[in-house]
Amino acid sequence: MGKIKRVWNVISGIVVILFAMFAILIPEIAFIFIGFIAAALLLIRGARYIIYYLTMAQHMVGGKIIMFYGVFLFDLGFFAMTIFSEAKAVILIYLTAGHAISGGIDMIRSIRNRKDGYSSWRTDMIQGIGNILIAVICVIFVNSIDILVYVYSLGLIYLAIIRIVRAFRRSAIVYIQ
Amino acid sequence: MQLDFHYYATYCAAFIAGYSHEESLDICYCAQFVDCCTRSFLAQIKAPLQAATTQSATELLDVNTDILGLQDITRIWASFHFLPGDLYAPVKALFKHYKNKYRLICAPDSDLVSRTVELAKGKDLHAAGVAMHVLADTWAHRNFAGTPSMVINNTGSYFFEIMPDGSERKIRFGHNPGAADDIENGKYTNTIYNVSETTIMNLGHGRAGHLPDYSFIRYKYMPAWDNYRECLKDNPAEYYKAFCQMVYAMRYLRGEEEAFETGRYDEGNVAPWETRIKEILTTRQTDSRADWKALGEELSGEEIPDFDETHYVEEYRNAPKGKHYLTFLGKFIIAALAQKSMVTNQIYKSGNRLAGVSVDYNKKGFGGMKDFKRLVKHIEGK
Repeated sequence: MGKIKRVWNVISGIVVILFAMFAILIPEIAFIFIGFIAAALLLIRGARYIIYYLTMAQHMVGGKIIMFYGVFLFDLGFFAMTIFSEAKAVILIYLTAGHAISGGIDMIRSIRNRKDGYSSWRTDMIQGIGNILIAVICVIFVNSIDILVYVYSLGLIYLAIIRIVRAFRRSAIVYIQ
Repeated sequence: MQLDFHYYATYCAAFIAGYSHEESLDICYCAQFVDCCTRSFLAQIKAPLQAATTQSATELLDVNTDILGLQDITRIWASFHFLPGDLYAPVKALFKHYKNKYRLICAPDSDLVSRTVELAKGKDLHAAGVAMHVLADTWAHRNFAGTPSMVINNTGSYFFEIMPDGSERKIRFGHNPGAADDIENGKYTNTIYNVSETTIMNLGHGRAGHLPDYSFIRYKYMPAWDNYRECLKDNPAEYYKAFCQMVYAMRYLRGEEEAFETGRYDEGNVAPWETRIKEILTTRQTDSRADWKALGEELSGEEIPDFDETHYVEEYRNAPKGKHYLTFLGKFIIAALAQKSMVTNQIYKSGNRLAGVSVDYNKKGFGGMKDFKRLVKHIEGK
């Protein structure tokens, strides 16, 4: 990882943590922001695929499908922008489905690791149970905007911390003749 | 390539090159062990994790495809399984990111193959084993890159097997990882189509399934990077070249050849067994270990034990502190670190950052991952 990338990871990690703290303090306002961000992310993702087509996928056999995919996501992002005030449904689906699927994958991995004799199966199982619990909490507190925002924000903080920690990790390979 | 070629065929090649039965066993064990030395394995025996030469399916499921994760994947797969064919290949594309990926496409007879073989010269037999794995895979894995990339490694539905009678049969792919390949009916397993450039589904030859690993198969398809040109892959012919090149390379390592030159294959010394070897290579089977084992045992008159991944684990675990690197696995680890260090450095020097940053110890001193301290100490004789 180059120096610029490291600095960028640290700065973006700090910005995400600040936003998550703001969301925890003022969930009612943050809620609208999150809806807006979800729609904006779709727009950005669509734009990224279009750029990916122009810079790389145009050289690939069958690469045009990437362009169509990018245009579709971009269009979907525009649509989401028009309804971002209905953010509750978006966040609920994101949190519940995302954590339930991740939890399931973690548990399958844990069972497989245990079978293969790898000690990491315990960590996977704990992560799996944690993810399933979060999904259950989201369903139980489906009517509480505050709880949904807290869960979403804590997830953001966790990811941002990992991003910052990785930016400081040594990654160069030593070459000796 | 699989255990049949990396273990048993490498044994045969080593014996033909002039190594003794015991030496040939050490070489072929290390050649096959490249496919077993995962991070999880190294963690279990408390060895440096950077010596990993492969990643298990479980590890790949868990892998991060952020920039560090991608560099780690590329170091492992480009160094040991998909050695780049030309790091300075001319590319028409405007953007550097595409050029960098294109230049990691694996091909045989490259400058890096020479460097790999030369790196093993004068070293333990373990280094020869690692080099033979890398060399053999350049033939099987050509046209694919050891980095996740849709624009390089993807394959479409245009995929035909050339049958022994010359007719063509469309290959059908499924995605059930538990399903065995059905060579009689032309049904094979590959990875799922995924539009993400960096997903592990687009790593190496995953999209072509195990086809590159079967010696008998001839097939044609359109590589994602080759502008709609049809590519014919004749595995029996290429595997035979791989075998002859291994014999030549090991004769060089033994000092019986003055230099290792690409494009040279020791067909002369292999000639007495040519018919037998070509028969093994063309037999329609997904695993030819029994045939190669029989040939190897005929050559040496000795029994070749089955490959056992855990054979040297206790020796490593029980070694006194600081003496691990005198054990069999310890020597393999040194060879693996040296190969990874060399290939990463060459990729980095070409201006390509896909395998990460390489710090030249001779110019800048030690900087970077501490696992490589062992390699530095070894080379300095400490």
